[in-house]
Amino acid sequence: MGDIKLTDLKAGEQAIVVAINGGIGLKRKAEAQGLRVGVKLTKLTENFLRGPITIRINNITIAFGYGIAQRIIVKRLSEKKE
Amino acid sequence: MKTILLVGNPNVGKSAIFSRLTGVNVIASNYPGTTVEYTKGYMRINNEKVAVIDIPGIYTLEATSEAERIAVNMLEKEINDENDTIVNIIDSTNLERNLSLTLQLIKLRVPLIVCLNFWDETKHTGIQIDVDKLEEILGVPVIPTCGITGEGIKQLHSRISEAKTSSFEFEEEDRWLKIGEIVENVQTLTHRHHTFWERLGDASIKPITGFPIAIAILLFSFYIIRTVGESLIGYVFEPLFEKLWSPLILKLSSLLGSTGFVHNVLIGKLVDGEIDFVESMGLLTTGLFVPIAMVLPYIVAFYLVLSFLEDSGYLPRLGVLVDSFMHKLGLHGLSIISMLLGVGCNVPGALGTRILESKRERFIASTIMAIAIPCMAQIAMVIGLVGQYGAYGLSLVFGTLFIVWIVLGIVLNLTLKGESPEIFVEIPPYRFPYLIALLKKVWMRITMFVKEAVPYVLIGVFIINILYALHIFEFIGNIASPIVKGILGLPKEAVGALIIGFLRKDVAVGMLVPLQLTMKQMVIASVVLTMYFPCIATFAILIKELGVKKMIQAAIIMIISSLTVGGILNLIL
Ligand SMILES: Nc1nc2c(ncn2[C@@H]2O[C@H](COP(=O)(O)OP(=O)(O)OP(=O)(O)O)[C@@H](O)[C@H]2O)c(=O)[nH]1
Ligand SMILES: [Mg+2]
Repeated sequence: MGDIKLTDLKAGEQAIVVAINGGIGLKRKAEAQGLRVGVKLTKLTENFLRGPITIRINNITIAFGYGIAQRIIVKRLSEKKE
Repeated sequence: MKTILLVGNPNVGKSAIFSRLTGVNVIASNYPGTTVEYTKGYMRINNEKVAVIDIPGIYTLEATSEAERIAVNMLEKEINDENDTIVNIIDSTNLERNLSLTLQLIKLRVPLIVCLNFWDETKHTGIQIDVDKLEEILGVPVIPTCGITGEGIKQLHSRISEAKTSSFEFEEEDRWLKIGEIVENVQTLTHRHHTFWERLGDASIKPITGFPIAIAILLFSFYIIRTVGESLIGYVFEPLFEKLWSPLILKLSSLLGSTGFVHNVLIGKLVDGEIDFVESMGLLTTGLFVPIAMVLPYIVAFYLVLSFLEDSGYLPRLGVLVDSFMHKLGLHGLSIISMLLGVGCNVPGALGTRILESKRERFIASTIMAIAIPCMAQIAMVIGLVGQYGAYGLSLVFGTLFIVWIVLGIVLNLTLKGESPEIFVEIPPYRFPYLIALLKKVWMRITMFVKEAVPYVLIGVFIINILYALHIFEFIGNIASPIVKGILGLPKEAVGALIIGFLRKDVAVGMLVPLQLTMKQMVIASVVLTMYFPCIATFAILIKELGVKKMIQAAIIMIISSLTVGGILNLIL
């Protein structure tokens, strides 16, 4: 399965973070909130008009802009029912 | 003096614990970025007085916003010898993420003590943490606490002197690896199902359900604020002034001989032998009535609702929901929280912009807030002026301000250089507000209002009396008449209200009511008074936050936009 942008992941799907393509600032900020290469995330919601998206990592819910989401590359995990 | 600094990620309960330790009340709310300045308090440890400092939350030791800069600066400034201690406060339900900062603090090689806050929430989230093992690994005391009930605070207090420099060694590149090992070692998770709160959490962010929810919350908030505010006025404060205070003042009035300068300053002019609390303009009449019976009831009502929203965790979700829209104004969604704080009072609102990253955002946010977000005192003023015309008059005023807020934001966004960064925020879980904490917070804000507002209103009333007596209003009125009359269509006597509005807007009501203005004039006066300049307290904060140069730019925008909008209203209404 190919790697996709976080924006192409559907709400409700899980994925593993493969890369964060951004400056050191974005990487640091993302990492500080627990978003880093290798972690598993669930995409919770997306907004129309390129609005922000929200994801959950462990217990933490994070929201960030569409532009940031485009720079986060993930590998989709086969959908599992909870 | 020995200093203890409370350091931790945003929204982990630092301020709650600070209040518990020192008895100094600071605002705690369920969203990251509540604290935007440092607060110093004191407590006793083994009969020695030590300073305790609450600072804004940080994720790393590199600051990206003004609030974070304040925190990091305090860390550098205050922690400088073996006596000083860092109390690292951790959210136990997010051990892994929080430990990242802990390990960075360990590298500073200063006495450290770790506080596992939100201990109460570990139970129902299926998290178990082996405290002794964590203490052993980190080599510093670890104490489970609950900031809201005070559980564990005694132990924290008694063990602060055991704080020590951690012996934990690691390479910076391995930080996350080490954190993984620690978490593996001390934490056990039991599976649990999604709670009602989590589902609600998602529903209030998704646009399809989120917007209806937001509108419902907004309308319901309006309803509550109006009902509580009007009831307090009608059943408590007006009767208090009319039935109890009025007879006393009338006695004093006859003692003073019913006329004269002293009488006018203290009691003001009697209308048909009676006191008119809005128009009389005495220190003991209007000076007390305006802040206490006109504004305070709405302050109480507003902060009850705001505090509930703050503690529930809804506000950052609202921020995500309106993010796309706020980008049109050059801001991101979180700035809506500053705007809401600004509805209570522009001062905390302007301070709240410290969570924004760029100067550009802070300038736009502060400027459009100062111009178009009416604070509670201004809202009370508007109600006093156009409330008699019902929903139509009120919607003319507030609708105009809302449009100005949007248009001004768009214009500033298009004309100012640079771009605004994207939102990046942690969304806290929904929590049911803890009543005692909520009421305490409302009480804090009420006392802050009384302490801030009453003196200014009294000064305002006093100045009005002096300026009247010296005929200065008449003098300036004649000079400013072309603008006031020509552009705004107001009588030249309205100048007095505009002058005193520099100090506070709410006092201005009593100066406008006797002028027998038409509804159109009342609407224009309300809009212009709100827009043309912030009150003196907000002005002082803006100078401090933006700098003199930016403040002058903002002031020019204020004057131009208020005259333009007032002029347009004069033409089209
Ligand atoms: N259930 C529970 N709630 C807590 C606890 N400690 C604090 N709170 C609540 O959690 C929210 C955040 O607390 P604050 O004290 O504002 O957190 P802070 O770390 O100062 O946050 P910032 O100033 O934004 O960095 C508030 O609504 C508190 O009432 C706790 O131990 N248990
Ligand atoms: Mg705080």
